[in-house]
Amino acid sequence: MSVSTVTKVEANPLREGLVRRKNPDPCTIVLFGASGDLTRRKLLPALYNLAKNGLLPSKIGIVGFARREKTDAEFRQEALESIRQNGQNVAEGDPLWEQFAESIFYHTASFDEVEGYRSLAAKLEEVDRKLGLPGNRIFYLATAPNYFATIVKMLGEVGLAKPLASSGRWARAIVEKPFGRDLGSARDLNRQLLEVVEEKQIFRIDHYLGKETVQNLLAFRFGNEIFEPLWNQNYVDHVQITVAESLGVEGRGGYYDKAGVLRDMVENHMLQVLSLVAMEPPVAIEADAIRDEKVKVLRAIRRIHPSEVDRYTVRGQYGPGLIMGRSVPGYTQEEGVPPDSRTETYVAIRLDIESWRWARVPFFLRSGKRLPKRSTEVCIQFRRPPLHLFSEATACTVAPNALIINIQPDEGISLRLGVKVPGPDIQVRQVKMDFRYGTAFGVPSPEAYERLILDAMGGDSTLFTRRDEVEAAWTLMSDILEGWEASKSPPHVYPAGSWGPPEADKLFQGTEGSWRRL
Amino acid sequence: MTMDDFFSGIPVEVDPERIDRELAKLWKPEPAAKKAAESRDPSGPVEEDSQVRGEEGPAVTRACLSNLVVYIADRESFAKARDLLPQLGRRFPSRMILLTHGNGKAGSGALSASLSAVCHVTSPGLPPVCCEQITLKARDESLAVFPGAVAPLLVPDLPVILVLSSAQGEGLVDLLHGAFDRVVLDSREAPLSALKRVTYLFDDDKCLGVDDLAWRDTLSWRRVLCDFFDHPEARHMLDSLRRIEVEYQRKKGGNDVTEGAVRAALVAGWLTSRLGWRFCKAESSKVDFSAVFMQSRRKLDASLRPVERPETGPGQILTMHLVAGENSKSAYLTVLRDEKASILRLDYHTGEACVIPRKIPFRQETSAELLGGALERVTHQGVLKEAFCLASQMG
Repeated sequence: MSVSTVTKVEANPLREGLVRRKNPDPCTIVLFGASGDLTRRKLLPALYNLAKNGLLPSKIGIVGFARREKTDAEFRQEALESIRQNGQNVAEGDPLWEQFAESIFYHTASFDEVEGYRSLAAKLEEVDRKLGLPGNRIFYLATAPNYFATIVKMLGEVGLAKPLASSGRWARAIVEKPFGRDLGSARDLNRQLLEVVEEKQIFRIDHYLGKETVQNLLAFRFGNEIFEPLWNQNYVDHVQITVAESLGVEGRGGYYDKAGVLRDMVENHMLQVLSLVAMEPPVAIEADAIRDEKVKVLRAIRRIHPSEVDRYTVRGQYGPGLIMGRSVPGYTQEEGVPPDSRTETYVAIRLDIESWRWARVPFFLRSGKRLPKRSTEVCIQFRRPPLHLFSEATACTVAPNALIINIQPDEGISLRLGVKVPGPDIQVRQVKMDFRYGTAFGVPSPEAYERLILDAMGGDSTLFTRRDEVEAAWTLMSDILEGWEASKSPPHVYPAGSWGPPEADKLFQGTEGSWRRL
Repeated sequence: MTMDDFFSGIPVEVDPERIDRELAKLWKPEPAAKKAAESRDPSGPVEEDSQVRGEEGPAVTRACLSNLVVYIADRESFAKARDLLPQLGRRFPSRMILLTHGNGKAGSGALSASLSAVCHVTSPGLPPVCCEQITLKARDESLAVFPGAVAPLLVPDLPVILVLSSAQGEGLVDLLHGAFDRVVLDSREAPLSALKRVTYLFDDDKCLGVDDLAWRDTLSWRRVLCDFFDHPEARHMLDSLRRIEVEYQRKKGGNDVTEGAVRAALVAGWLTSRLGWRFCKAESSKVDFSAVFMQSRRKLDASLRPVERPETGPGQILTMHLVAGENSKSAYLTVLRDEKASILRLDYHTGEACVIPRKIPFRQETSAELLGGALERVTHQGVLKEAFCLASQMG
């Protein structure tokens, strides 16, 4: 996607006509938090899948970094097990696995002791020599967030974080979420990282941006002529973005109670989706051109003053209930959650974008745990026709046109419209035109992490969030958090298996809409 | 014809003149669902429904991304196509119109017809996704009967893609002129000489999107070479290339060395055309055939040789060997297919050093996968045309 990549691709006369882009430069990826859940469930399987599809660089080194004592061989065995557990069929003696395994190493060290980084530097040089690697590095920070700044600082101290411009070698850091827990901490983290590395070296990951349907928002909006003229306050009544989960905290009560759904979902995934829905056309499909437009949207969102939180937000917490006939505990009965916790597991927010395009078009966001089903979608609800030419009953029962972009699990796009019911009189009935990825394309979408790791290796930061985006998002969220902190009222309790507290309906007051029944 | 017959997947003979009506009837919502819809209180909530219900079976989703017109000349190919289409329906559901020759019961004229549904389940719990297959059989060997039969069966506003072997049925291209948007050839089993006959499809005035399954089948080889030459240190080899050798699986019973050589010739044609070489002359012997290419005053030899190796289909590429430079500055690149391990082994040697050998994943794609790929992504016409033209000259 970047200009530099295109230039390089054209230099190889064999590249023309091959759809797939150039494989990234050979490099070593260092996985901080190598014993953690993310490495096991997502990163190692994603790397192996990329290798299996021939998408990794011609030469690669993978170095796990964690406190737990382990040998290279033990880490390779763990990697094999996690790859198998994630559905990959790796037979004994599989030559591809053997080649992949030869690229895996492990380094035992503590995140906050510089000696461990010195020995890491020596180990990386050894790996470079062994595998013939040129010294390019990716540092993947898959650790608890309180280590992000420390790790980058230590990398800087031992000289691993700076790109060696004269030799053309590069170093990049992929930073997992959460990136801060409020505006102040996000700014601090940015400052600490930028003291050591440059912005272009930082890849702040939001795995939602790696999802095919989220990327399709750009293709859908700017690759079709017919929707863009309607994509504004003249035709759109309101926009709803829903991220619903049927799961609870799943043993992560301790972590979740410090975060809540606003930090866990809204600040990153939902605001990213919102900015892709609401952005102006970028001047080019390039990282900064796209991120410039996204950040403009975030800056145009009217800030909710802490004193306004009860008017524009509703927070909830799930109580005991039934999901598919199974009885589930309430949030405060979950392991690791204090019985008097006020952490929100549900949030509904009304946001207004003060721009020429979106003035008078509210954006309603809701996300929650233990809702009836897992579903993530964006709904663009259009205005009603200016005049009801047909029966009054039609006006009441046929909902206005809506364009629904399903992000998961049933990825696709639907258009809701009214058509005449066959017969002597004129009655309009609501129907739905459907496009489903699963029906139209027999090839499954790649895992979000595969796409994002590959992009980071290629130096393409389009699908990663930039410093100003993160800070703009936290500016909005911090106001809400501050308001909640000051508020005396606890979150509304909703039964697990319901669509959240009924109070959330009040956000639609003064509009024609209501929450969609998913 | 009942819905059960239709969704059974077994072709049911119908009168060719009633195909459209039969299909319209079969895809209609079931009477019970229709009645329920009619009796529903119009002031109540209206259910959204885009599915069709079988009379007794579960609901199905109808999908159609294109009109796929497939010409099959002989019985053996027809059997292969019948196996391939359900797999293709899973990847690229389309209205599939199979054109062939033979006798059928229904219809009294020059054509007989049959219908069936091609269904698959995308995820457990979701209704199956179905598309329809229409088979038209001409009672004689003539192709002339097809255009008038195909035109009314095409679903409007969807692309029309003609699929045919390079060796047979190219007359259909002219007969169906203007009725289709793209043509996908299958040159895998065709003699190399057949390529010459179809190069006219690339003419600009045809304005067709052309693809070829043999070309698609060389994609892994082209990618491996391209990725290898992405490395700046390897790139110089392209500037001093002097020999290309390609080995491919011999066609059983083939007398001519060029039989089954299409893929090997296409990949050699691709490499030489990308590097700006011009075809000069071709020669053949009992064991191989070769071509000479020129660029300024430099000469490049390409040698294509059939060999026999178990577990590999006829015409599939087995080894590529590239030689560049002279004497101590020579460089050698070998890409070898290891069928058992599903990998390509890549070895690069120079006068001074041997670079660590690499293994690259390789999987032989099935015909359905190759065709699915051709339907999903349009191939670069300029690159294919140049490769095709050079390959056809080598025969």
